[in-house]
Amino acid sequence: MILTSEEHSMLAGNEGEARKLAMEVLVKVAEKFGAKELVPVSSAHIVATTYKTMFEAGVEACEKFAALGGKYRVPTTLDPSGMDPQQWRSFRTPEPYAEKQLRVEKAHEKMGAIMSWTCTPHFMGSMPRFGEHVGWAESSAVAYINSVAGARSNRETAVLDICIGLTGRTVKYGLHLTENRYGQILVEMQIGGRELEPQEYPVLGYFLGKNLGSDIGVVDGFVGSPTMDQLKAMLAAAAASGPLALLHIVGTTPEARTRAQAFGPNTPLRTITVTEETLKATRSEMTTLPNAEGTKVDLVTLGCPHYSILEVQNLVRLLRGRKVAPGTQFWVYTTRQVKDLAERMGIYHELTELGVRIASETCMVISPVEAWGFKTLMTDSGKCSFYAPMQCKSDVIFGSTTECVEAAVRGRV
Amino acid sequence: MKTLKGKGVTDGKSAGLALVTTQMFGFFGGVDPSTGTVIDPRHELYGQNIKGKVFVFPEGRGSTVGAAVILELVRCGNAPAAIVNRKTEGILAAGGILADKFYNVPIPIVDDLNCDPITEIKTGDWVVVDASSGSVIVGK
Repeated sequence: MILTSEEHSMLAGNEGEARKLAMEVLVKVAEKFGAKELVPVSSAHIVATTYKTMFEAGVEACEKFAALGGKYRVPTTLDPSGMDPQQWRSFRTPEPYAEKQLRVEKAHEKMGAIMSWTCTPHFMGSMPRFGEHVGWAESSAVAYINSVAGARSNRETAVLDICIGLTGRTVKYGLHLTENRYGQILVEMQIGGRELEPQEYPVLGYFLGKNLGSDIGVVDGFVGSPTMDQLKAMLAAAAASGPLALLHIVGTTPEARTRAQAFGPNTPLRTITVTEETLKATRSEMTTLPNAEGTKVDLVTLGCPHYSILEVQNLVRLLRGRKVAPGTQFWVYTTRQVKDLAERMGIYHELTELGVRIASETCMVISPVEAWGFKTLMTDSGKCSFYAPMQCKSDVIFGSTTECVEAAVRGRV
Repeated sequence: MKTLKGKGVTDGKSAGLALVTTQMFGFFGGVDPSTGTVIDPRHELYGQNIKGKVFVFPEGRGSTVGAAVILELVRCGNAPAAIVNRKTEGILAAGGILADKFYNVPIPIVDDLNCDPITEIKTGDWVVVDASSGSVIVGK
């Protein structure tokens, strides 16, 4: 392996014990992947942020780096926290859990992290440009910045992400190299030349994540112009149901202006066809109840990934004039910034009156929602529908945002 | 008995009874680290335990917090004895390396074999995994 003098210096401990340990881990990972060198990254994004997902071992790892005097070397943002910092008590977060979570937060603060607490850091000021190398660990964000911005990041993982932030380096392999970014599998849309409905974006994503594996897909035949939020929802679902990190969407991905450009020197290994039947079958797979019709819904939850202000506005439009049924909870997750904006615009107050709670800086997947004992939850998120059975310990029903709102008003599907 | 040749992703040598799945596996949401039990109801291994097993699956999937789950499995003593994949992705590899670094417990991981481990290894086979040499010895 070839290291620069700066990297050698970190490895030798000249920049402190934390960076030394971080460098040791990175070099070891690099060796195992046969990487010849490390690559400087302009930012890191960390998922080692919640007690619920990383348990005691993760808390210990964060504290170890902080205790060794670790300081992030490049701008380093944080994934959502394991609880809403302002409302955790009213969300029934157990005290012992909160104590562990606060230890994680303190460790990152000490190391100089940007207190972003969101899975969409790219929407709050750290969107990398085309070709920029970054070391991000939030799967949905990695899929987004690779596929939509044309930036370069592998799916970094918890704790290794801390090593990346501390050194400003990551292993140069996988998607950092141009030759590994070309398409391998053709995905043909055969749905009669129509545009996808909003709720079909996460459905398509869920299907692609499951069926592409770690091969890079090239989606051709997309009609219309998906919004950033639709792409966000689709790629998040794909990155949850499978290891997807880059999807070429012909006409949208900067490296896929045409099908030929997306494949580059590669010939497609195989073709996956997406038909009406594919979407229908996938959608039913995203719901754990075989016959959901009429089922009582205990929780309707949106905002995975974090809802944008546009999505919050859409929700107000759908719910206005009605109210969430008693006996049903309705929680929306977003960033601190979007929540502040919603407050300024009067939407926060309006939603509260309609029976919706807005939580910020956390989400349903990584906070202790299971403490509520919900039997059935409903969501418009493909990613949430994938994780909820395990993380919230409840049945999950996937539906469009409109269907979620209707179920919330009726209290049942 | 047969010997499969592959590539060591981490270091170390270990043995155990094989637990084989044809489905991808994600550690976050896939397993409860306090018990080692598979908790994903949509996975074919739902309800089974990976502790001490030679866990054979095609490749990893899903959330990037997987490495932390592997660390916690190791901390709680519920990690698999070894892992064999068609292709080990970065999350699992880093998890194995971090476990060695933080808890001095190497999980031998081997991938890129000269045959398909998913069909060559059957659940219940006794398997010895030597990640230093990349060899996987399958007994009955």
